This record gives sequence, C-alpha cells and structure tokens, in this order.
Amino acid sequence: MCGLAVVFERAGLPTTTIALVREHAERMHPPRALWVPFGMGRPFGAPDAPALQRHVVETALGLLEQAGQDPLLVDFLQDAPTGDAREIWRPAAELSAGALPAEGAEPEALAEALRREAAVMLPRHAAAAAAHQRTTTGASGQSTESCVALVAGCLTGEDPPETPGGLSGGMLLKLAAEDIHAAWCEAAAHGSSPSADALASWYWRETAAGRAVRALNRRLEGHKNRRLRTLSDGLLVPGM
Amino acid sequence: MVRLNDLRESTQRALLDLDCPDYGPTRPVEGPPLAERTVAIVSTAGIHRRGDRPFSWGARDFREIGRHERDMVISHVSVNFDRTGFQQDLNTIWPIDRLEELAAGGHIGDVAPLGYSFVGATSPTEMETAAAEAATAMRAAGVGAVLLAPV
Repeated sequence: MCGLAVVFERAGLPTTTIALVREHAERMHPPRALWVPFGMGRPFGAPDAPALQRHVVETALGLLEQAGQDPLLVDFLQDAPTGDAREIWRPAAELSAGALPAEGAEPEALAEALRREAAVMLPRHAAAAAAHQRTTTGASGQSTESCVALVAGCLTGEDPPETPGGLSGGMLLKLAAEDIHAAWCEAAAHGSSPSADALASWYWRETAAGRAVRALNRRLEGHKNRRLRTLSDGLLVPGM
Repeated sequence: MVRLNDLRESTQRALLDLDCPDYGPTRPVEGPPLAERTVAIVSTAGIHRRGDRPFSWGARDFREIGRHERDMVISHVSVNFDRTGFQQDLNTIWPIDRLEELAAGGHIGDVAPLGYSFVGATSPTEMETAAAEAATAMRAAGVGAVLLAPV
C-alpha cells in the first residue's frame, strides 16, 4: 500500500494512505498516512457503521490539506464496534444440520456431513442474500452447490479439474472453499451482529464445512502436485 | 484497538517480514482544496467485479472498478484477514458510499469514474509497472486525490 503511494506521488498524484500496520508506514514513509486501530480486513472500521467509516475517510482526506514537506503519520484513536463476542453470539438454531463428525473423522464422513449441512445452509444463504440484495459468493465462477461438490470430492481423493485457458485446479479449489466460507458466514450473520472472531470460531470449529476444509488442507500437505500442495501452506485455512 | 502486538505471533512475524522497501521521504504533491478535487479509491484487497478474472497468486496487475459498481468479490491470495466485514458491508474495505456522500455534500469535488484494486501480498516493487499505468489513467481522468486502502 505504502509502495503504491510513493509511485502515485512520483507520478504527480496526491495520496493519503490508510495504515493497518503502523510499522509498515514507519518503514516506507508514504507522504500522508492515517494509522487506524482496526483488525486486518477492516480498514474503515466495521460493517454497517457508516458514521465511523465516514469519520475515517474524512480524517484521511483531511491530511491532504495539511501543509508540510515531511511524511505525515497520524493515529486515528477511535475504536470500532466489535459485534457480539464468541462467548455470547450463537448462530440461529435452524443453521444446525445435526451432530458433527469428530475431529479427525474419516474424509467420507466429513464429506457427507458437508453435503448434509449444505442442504440446510444454502436456502438460508439464499434468503440472507435476498434480504441484503447482495452476496460476495461467486469468486470461483461456480454455484455454491458446485463448490460444495468440488470440496467434498477433493476431500475424498479426487483432484480439482484443470481447464485449459481457465482457472488452475488449485485456484479453483481455493476459491470454491472461499465461496463456501462466504455463503456460510453471510447466512450466519444475517439478522445478528457477530464479531469477526465469533464468526471465524464458529465456521472453523463448529461447522462441517470448516472441518472439511481443514481436513482437505491436511490431505493436500503431502500432495504430489506442487500447486495443490502449496494450498496447504496457509492459502486455504487461516493460521488458527 | 488492534496493534501489531495484539495479533498472533505467526501473523506478527509474517507482517514484519513483508517486503517493505525504504523509498526514503517522498515530497508530497499538493493540490487545490478537497472541495475541488476528484477522489479515487485504490485498494490492495484483491476485490473485483463478479465475473472479472480472479487475481492469480503473486498478481502484479490490477482491476478497474467503476464508480457505480457494488457487486464485488474477493480473490486475494491470503486468507489471513477478516472477510466477514466485507461480506456484510462493502464499505468496510471499499468506502464508495461514504465518498459519494462527501461528494453530494460538497466536501470533495467528485468521485472518480474508476477505482483500482491490487493484491497487497505482492511485493511493492513488483507492482510498480502496473501502479504507474493506473497513475497515468487516473491523471488522464482528472483525479486530484487518491485514497489508498489496505486490507
């Protein structure tokens, strides 16, 4: 981010930079930067918090009107609302598809649990998307149903298809896993205000999808295909 | 309040190990009052319009995002940042509606017809060619300020 600021300024474009990692701004000296105390992935504070988002934008743009030749690094000290913590927030009961296979269960059992969970989750996601008139699923270019089938298949020993001129198998599998994550989290967040940590904890620990993707990650660790093996190096499952 | 020390040790290490070339102080480009400037958003969140080709791993290119585009997805290589804020509200990472409000209120001159999206996991030096291309396009469009947003 700071590198782009330098390139743009050298091309004659005034910039103001949001900095999530203050240490990066200190090292790279963008001309104007506003350090914000928000979590990674939330540079403008929080969802559905327009007043806070606007305050961040106005403060960052305001740096453009401060005179001076030295790099400007200013701290934004207002915290963001976090949402309900993981100890408090629970997803709606209707999202449960029954008991989960144990950690370390056989891949076939996890794949079946994922399919069973999808039958519950997909209609809920469709309702959430209709209510919001928006969804962020679809980066894979596949329907979420197809993403579930792909992940379940790869979990039980298949490899993702390689399409000439299209996405690589590894990229397709990664984006399919992320589309499932988006669908599940959009469905779970609908009508409630979970914190980012609460949603992450629920998805990765308490859903068949999260457990299936984690198991898939383990399967890929020793895969003979280098690009598929690379997925297991932090590209499918966040550091937990 | 989230500071680097509050993050997982592995995340701290990854962030501190990122390639951060020392460009030295850059002389800030000045401009007219904000109320006379057209503002563009540039993000490194790896977002793009649904249907655009996803970003590849190590992507050095960018995607253009129209002023009125709201139907967006993410194909950033990293999964180590929260995506649920974006899932619930685009403005958490791409504050286009806030910019439109500022333009409507006369606080900024206008919103640029195009914004630009990169993938922040790519080394800054490897993005320089594409960044220069985006800069040329923004200057041609009369952009007078760039709001840079990481993820």
